[in-house]
Amino acid sequence: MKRWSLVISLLFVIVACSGCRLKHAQLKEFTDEKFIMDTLIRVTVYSDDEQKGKGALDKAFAEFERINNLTDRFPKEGENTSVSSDVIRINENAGIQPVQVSADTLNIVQRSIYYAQLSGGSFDITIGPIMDLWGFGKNVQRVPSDDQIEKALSLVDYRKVVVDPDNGTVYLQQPGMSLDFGGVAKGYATEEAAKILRELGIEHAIINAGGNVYALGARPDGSPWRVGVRDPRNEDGLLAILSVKDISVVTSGDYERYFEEGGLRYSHLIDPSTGKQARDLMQTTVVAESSTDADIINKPLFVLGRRQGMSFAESLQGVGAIFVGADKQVTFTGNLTNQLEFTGNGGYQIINQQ
Amino acid sequence: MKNLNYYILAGLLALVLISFGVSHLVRRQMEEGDLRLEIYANGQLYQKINLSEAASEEIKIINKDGHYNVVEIEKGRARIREADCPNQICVRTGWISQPGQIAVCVPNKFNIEIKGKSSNVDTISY
Repeated sequence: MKRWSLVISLLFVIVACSGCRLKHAQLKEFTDEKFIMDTLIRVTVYSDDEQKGKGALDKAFAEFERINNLTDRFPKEGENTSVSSDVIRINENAGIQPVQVSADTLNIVQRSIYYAQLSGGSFDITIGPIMDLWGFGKNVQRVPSDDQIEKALSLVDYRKVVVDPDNGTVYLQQPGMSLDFGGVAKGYATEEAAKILRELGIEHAIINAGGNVYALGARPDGSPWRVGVRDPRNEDGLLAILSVKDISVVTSGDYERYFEEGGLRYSHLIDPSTGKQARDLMQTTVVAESSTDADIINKPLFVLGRRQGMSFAESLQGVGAIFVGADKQVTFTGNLTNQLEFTGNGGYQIINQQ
Repeated sequence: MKNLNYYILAGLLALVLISFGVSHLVRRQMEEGDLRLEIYANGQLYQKINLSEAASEEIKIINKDGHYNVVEIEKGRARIREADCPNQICVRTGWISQPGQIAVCVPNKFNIEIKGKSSNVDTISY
């Protein structure tokens, strides 16, 4: 009897062991990618149920499509964006009349104006005429003349955006003005998609919208997600790695959209006060709870440059930032110290101010 | 009888040990030698190539609108060498070789990505 009990107990142990492994393997990874908002969106979720996992992916992508339809600036061939896009309708009615918009658009405009005020206009969603002049968003880019820039600049002013939250309308006061959500729409869509994943009961997920990252929860094993920050001058390398949970990491760099003329690099990161490229930095990274905020905040940081950008970042609660100067000097806010490791690659000089 | 039971016990124990050992080895091998290139057209997986053993080759992918991208592959790395897109961002991205790295051609809805378990990051902010 005793022997049999030994055998049985051993069998029990084996069954129990395979049981633990099964349980660990129950959380499966589901991932998909789509081209939306002129960029590659990738979503990865973990779920113990295939239907739930795949359904969550579909709903996340549907949210990106929805926000894209509201915020697209240019009508696309074969797509009915000119009817659905709030931005197109607002721009068409500049200097004419206020336009009724969705709650999402109202939200984006209000948040953008808040940061425009806070940063003294170094972020401005009325940058549309300047972006058009340089050809960003279109296929042909060129360096405009100073006269052209000055003329377009007279149409850039966030203070001429009238928001009426009670009636749900947005109005651009001057004819020719135009909104450009290029610096905020991806972040907002990422935040909304993350909300939807949470509502569906997803506890571990990564959303990467053209480099805009939201890390939902932690890794399935409970450890923090590891988010790499690209080396701004080497596509094949990483500058640093951030260990994060429930947070957004967004990077802006002069390598994202640019053209070269006469040996000079002209990026899409333009200072709304001069209408020309900001050149003090080549990359900024912002870590913040809200992906919308993280996306927006990058732009004033890049435009303000290392010194002023650093004081602006430090004035914002719960926001971390990394600055890579054109001189390859790297600085970062002190609150990132415990979660930031530099790879040491690329010949950057890391300046820890603490 | 007594001996027989001991044999059964020993056999079971050996079985358990061997299965643990094998699964460990398999897993380790997957982590080490698992560097691969994934080619996506219009968000759909088009082809997977083992980069650890890849011979030099070129693949031209033409999408349904007639636009093309040329992927060049060498051992351990890959790039989009040529494309008929207007902005050439994908070509300028250059060689990629680390898990998680991607080269994207938005106009042609085309991208390549390096995959591998040895990646020490979950995703890349760029």
